Amino acid sequence: MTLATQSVSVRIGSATLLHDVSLAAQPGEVLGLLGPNGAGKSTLMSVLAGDRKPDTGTVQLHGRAPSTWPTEALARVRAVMTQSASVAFDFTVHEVVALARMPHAGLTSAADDRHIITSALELADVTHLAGRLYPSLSGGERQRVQAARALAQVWTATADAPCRFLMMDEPTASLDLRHQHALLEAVRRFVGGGVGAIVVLHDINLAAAYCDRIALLDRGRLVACGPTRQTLAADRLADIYGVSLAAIDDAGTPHFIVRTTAQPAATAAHLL
Amino acid sequence: MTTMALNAGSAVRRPATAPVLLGLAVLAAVFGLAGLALGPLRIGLLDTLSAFADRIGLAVSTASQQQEAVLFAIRLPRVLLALAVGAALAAAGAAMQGLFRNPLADPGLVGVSAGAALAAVATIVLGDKVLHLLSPAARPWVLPAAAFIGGLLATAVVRRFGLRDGRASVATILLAGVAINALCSAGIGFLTFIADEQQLRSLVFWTMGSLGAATWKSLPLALPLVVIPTILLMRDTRALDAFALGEREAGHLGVDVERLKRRILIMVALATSASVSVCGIIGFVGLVVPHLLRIACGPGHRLVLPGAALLGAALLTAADLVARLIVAPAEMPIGVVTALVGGPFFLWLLARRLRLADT
Repeated sequence: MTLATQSVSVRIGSATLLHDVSLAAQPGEVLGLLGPNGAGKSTLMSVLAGDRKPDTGTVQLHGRAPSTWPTEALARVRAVMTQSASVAFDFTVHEVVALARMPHAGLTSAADDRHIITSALELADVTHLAGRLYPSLSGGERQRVQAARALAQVWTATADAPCRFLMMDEPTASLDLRHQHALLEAVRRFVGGGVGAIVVLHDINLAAAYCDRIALLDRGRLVACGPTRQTLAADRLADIYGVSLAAIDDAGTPHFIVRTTAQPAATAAHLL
Repeated sequence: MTTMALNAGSAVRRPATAPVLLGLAVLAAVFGLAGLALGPLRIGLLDTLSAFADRIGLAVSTASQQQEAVLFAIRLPRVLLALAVGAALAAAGAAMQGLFRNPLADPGLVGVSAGAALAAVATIVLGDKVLHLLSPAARPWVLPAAAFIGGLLATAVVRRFGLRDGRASVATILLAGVAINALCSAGIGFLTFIADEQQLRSLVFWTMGSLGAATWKSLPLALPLVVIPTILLMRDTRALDAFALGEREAGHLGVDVERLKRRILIMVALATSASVSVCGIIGFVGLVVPHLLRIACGPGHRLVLPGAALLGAALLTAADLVARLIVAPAEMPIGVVTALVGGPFFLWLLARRLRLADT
């Protein structure tokens, strides 16, 4: 267990954002955080990333609270891709991704850094955009560049800790169908002995296809946590999301379809 | 146009840092020399150089005694001050724009110039009652000291408003800066209203800026206060690049965000207060110079910050030369020159921005 929360609660005023959450992420696996809006996914992510100290409970990264790590060493051990995709000023894509190597200054050679940046651009399928100005990109392109930056930040092993973590908050939100799969495929390939990924996702089917384990959150509580197949049960999801779901077996991977109760369009038009 | 051509055409190339900085340093040196040689009393370039060579024992000066007196007693301190203040204002502007992630930010944004101006104007208008209590030797220091402290105080108030739980909110600082600027303007307005004829003259002159106060007496104190914080700003160039991604994102990259904000605000307040306290308010340098660098060389702060300092030094020296020559032997307030050049230039920048956004 290398990144774990123990009975973590977070409150803002009278609102409880997280309640008694105990969760562990391991290197070598993709852990999906799922749940409806306001379930506490982003809050849990910020606790794991060390942005926010829990009000009660503890969070430990290699035996120490992330908030007590020196900020630079922490940055070598975990990368965070937030939902923010804005960059002030006209930096190029290459310059944005190169910022990922900042915490490694003086520890890796310039040649290694260049190689890592090139590889990360490739893995996130943005090599062709490298010379473009970031503000001229579309939303989906920006998201892929931010993913490349997060990948480049924890690309190689560091002396600070035995393994690294890649944290992504809704990394596929603006991506087209092909790139949604390409990005999660890339994350799967990236995750190995030394790296674990924690990914917030809204698409249950993407989670089913690419996550090793799933943590299901609802209203600040951890409802279920375990291997993807066992955790993503249609009745449990239906309960949490408040929709009617059916699971289809797609060559061994569960696939969920939503049963709508809405009137078909033609009928609705007829009612007018 | 095909997609291929579009992509190829829009790939951006950046110039190398060292040659650009070297070129700008040469430009500053050239304008500095021009500032020494030109003026109502002309001193030839060779005479100027030989006078300097004479001082360090390398050659015999060909300049007349009068020329040497003007050169060393009047022009040299003035040019040194112009170089230092130009560098400070432009670098402070670049740092503020990076910190606020906004290309329209200006050192004056956090109330530092307005606070210094209010204190200076108060000294001019109300100082009579107090000044005669001081020894004659101390009197010339009262106004710059008041302006310096006024600028720092205003920034401290603005920063205090932006603090919550030990974290500084950049947006709140910006809004508090607007309020403090308005309050200081109101104070200046009131003091202007009650000022007498002679106070009004010195007050107007001060608020439009002048490098005329540069003497060997004031420089040893003023120069370090202007130059040291400017140099210290150069430590944070990499962190400011990360800041372009957002505060939280910069933190994820290992930047100690709160320390960076505190450090930059303090250095900007020191450099700007010290500049304003010796020269009055000189606008547009802090706003326009960093823009020029970004347009020509890209937004990376490792080039923009030192580059802005060098270009600011060059341009303010040039502006002072214009201010001295255009209505010689009288002198134009330098703030008028920088605003006359900077204003239209800024409009051109805005128009260019809109044009680029369209395509």
